Amino acid sequence: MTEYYVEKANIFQSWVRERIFLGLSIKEYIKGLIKPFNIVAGIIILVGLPFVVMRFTQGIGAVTHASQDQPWGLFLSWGLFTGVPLAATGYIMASAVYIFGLKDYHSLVRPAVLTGFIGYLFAVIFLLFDLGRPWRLPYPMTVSFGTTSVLFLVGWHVALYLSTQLVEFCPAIFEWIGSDRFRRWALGVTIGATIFGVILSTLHQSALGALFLLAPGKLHPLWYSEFIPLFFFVSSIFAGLSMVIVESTLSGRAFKNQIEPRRLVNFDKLTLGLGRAASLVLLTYFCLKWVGVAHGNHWDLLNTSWGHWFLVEVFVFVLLPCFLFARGVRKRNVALIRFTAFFTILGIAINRLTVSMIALNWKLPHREYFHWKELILVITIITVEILTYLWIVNRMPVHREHPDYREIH
Amino acid sequence: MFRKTIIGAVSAWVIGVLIVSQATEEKETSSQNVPEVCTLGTLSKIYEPVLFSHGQHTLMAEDCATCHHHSEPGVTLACKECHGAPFDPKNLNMPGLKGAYHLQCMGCHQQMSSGPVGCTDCHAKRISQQTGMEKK
Amino acid sequence: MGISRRKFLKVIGVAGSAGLVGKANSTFGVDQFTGSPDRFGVLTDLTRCVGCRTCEAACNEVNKLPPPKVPFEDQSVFEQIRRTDVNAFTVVNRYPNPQPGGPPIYVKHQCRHCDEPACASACLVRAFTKTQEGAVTYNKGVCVGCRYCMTACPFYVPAYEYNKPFSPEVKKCTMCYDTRVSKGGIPACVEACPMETMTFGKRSDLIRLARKRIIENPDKYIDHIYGEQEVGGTSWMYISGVPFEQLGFPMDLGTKPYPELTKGFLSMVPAVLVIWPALLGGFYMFTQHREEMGVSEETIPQEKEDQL
Repeated sequence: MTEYYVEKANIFQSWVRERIFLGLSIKEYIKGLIKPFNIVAGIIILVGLPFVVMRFTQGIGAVTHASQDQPWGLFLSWGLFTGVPLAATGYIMASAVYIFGLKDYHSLVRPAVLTGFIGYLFAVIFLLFDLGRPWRLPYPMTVSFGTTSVLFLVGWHVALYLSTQLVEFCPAIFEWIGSDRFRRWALGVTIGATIFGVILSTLHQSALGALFLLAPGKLHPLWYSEFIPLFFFVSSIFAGLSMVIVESTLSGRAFKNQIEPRRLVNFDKLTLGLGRAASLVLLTYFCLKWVGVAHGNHWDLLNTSWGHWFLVEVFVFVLLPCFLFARGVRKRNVALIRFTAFFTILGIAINRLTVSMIALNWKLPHREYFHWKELILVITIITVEILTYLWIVNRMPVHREHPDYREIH
Repeated sequence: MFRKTIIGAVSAWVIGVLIVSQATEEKETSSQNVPEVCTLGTLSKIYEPVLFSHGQHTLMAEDCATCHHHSEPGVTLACKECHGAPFDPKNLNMPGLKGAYHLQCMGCHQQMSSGPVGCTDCHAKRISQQTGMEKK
Repeated sequence: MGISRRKFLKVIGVAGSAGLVGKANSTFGVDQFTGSPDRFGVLTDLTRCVGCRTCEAACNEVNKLPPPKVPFEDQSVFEQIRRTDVNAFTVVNRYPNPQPGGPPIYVKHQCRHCDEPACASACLVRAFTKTQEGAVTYNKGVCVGCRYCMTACPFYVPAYEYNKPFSPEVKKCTMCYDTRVSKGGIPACVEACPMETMTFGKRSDLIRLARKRIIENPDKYIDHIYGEQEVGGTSWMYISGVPFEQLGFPMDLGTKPYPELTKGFLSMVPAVLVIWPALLGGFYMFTQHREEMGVSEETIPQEKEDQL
């Protein structure tokens, strides 16, 4: 009888070793962890840890410059407002492949869904850092419903979308665990989950912009517009496309040992296609921004310092990448497209930081944007995010096909 | 103790005069019935009562109606005859007694740029950091 | 048949349930906040305030706030324009009189208890309520601390206790609702003011009173009641002898209530919840149909790339 349990324990132990420790003994595994990237990441986390403790034991005021006039800082500006469009990879690729039938891009779906899931998960984690009472995060879902609030919509949708992304990623998890039955269930609901995910994404990407509709006097007129939800939604599309390119570029380097050469070569071809799509959406967004200016009749504001910043944002970070993408596609210059994708992401970050932090409360005499402790915390959380992503990709079939499930997609 | 005796005596005199003048239908404006000093102390919980130099002010004003306003000609009523509790819904524009005192006294002092306008210029504070509200 | 029955039913199932959610959403819908017709208000007559700060002291006492660093008798605080804070639900600020030689103007600033409050519209857990009596109250039992109310308030009123890790709250004037107004009393600051700068009464009566004062003293007052129509009307209103823009009042708020600003977007939600599943399901079926017909997607981009 004891032999039976010993047998079971051994099986479990070897399962854990294979799945969690990459088939190595614990000693070997820890030895293998000592790489330059991991060391740097470890240092960052060690530096950030005391500030995490500070935040939760002494309150938000201990690590941010949150004031009564400017309540929102870097946790929200980066974690939520920038992090969410960058996590739009999931719904873009899933709908491209499963709904619009662009089967060529299939190899990019799983990494995109994972990037999206991690992005939203950490947006929630940033939120937990920012909320005054983070343990009350489920309240808008369970206790009290503020149905007139756009933030209520954002909360619900992020929660639902996180679950949807998890469901979309489930096939990879179940392949990793080795459960065939659950995997087949997960595959079956993929289409429904994808459609649901697109619906949710449309609404909450635009809702993040709609939040600022309630602050007409506080957000600079060049950014405040009735079209803000549309701006946020359209920019999330090219943010997602660019992020897929960025992710595949970085993964192609980081996971070279994992990805088949055939797939790596295919990435180049797919990158061209993504670049073409991104170029088109960027052009659309560029035109939309001018519709916004015209609608508000703010032409005179363009010749102020804020106006100059707006022009930089629109010409350098929207129109320029649009041209660069188009040129890259025409000349089949994959390297240029990859560079432009990074540049576009920078532009998205600049736009979201401008709307949520810099141009918000632009009339106030004293401006303090963010605290250095807040910056350290943001960098720490981003490091943990990257490590999580690496952990998952090193174990689950994201950039490769699981040997047992090779034929089935 | 001496001061308190004075205040008590004056208060009694004022109240006596008022009672007497209430009983008569015609209000006399002869100087015999005009009080020299009025103690305005019915309201204050945190400030000492005001020792109002009524006699001095009658010399400055040409007519009693300058201060004793909004009443029939020849009729001189004390402030609290008309001004009671504030914010009567039927008569929102009429201030309560405390407001009436301050608006009338300080209003004139400000207009003439002469006369006390600070809080403790007219009444010393009894207890610090307190306010003129009912203690519960 | 191009698409399998099971797949079709799945799509319709998702679409249908999404549609039902949309319908439920629209019955939750967007509320109106307009208070009851008998709601109270406060009219502040800025020609009367002398800056004695008794109102601030009264507010401090009634709300059991800690004693201030600078005592209330101290007039040096007027050298700076102050805003409301976690321990100061109301502040009096001093502004120079544009008429040379005239006395300075003192303005009492606190929550305006708007008829359609932006904070109530913004709150994702409905922590703010516009009561029947007119006060806008805060429920600390549901607040998650997102501070969207602070971003939404056009008057920069709510303050947050950033230095409290375990029980931070939003702090603002409550119009003494719990302790006084709900029991038939009047707010502490209104009662304490020696000059009766503020008048408490039914909002409709106060507007009549304000108009009466303006009409009877046209040289004394500016012909405007601030708060009568700004952002849809506020319970706390002001009349003044000096133009409001010189007294720190925001003049660009308009008369549209703030909740209206997001109604357009929110009403789009049920539409998207119903249309998107149909649209996307349709695309999906179209794609499936094309595959069935043997027109493979692989060949088309290839042709397009050859054309480049």
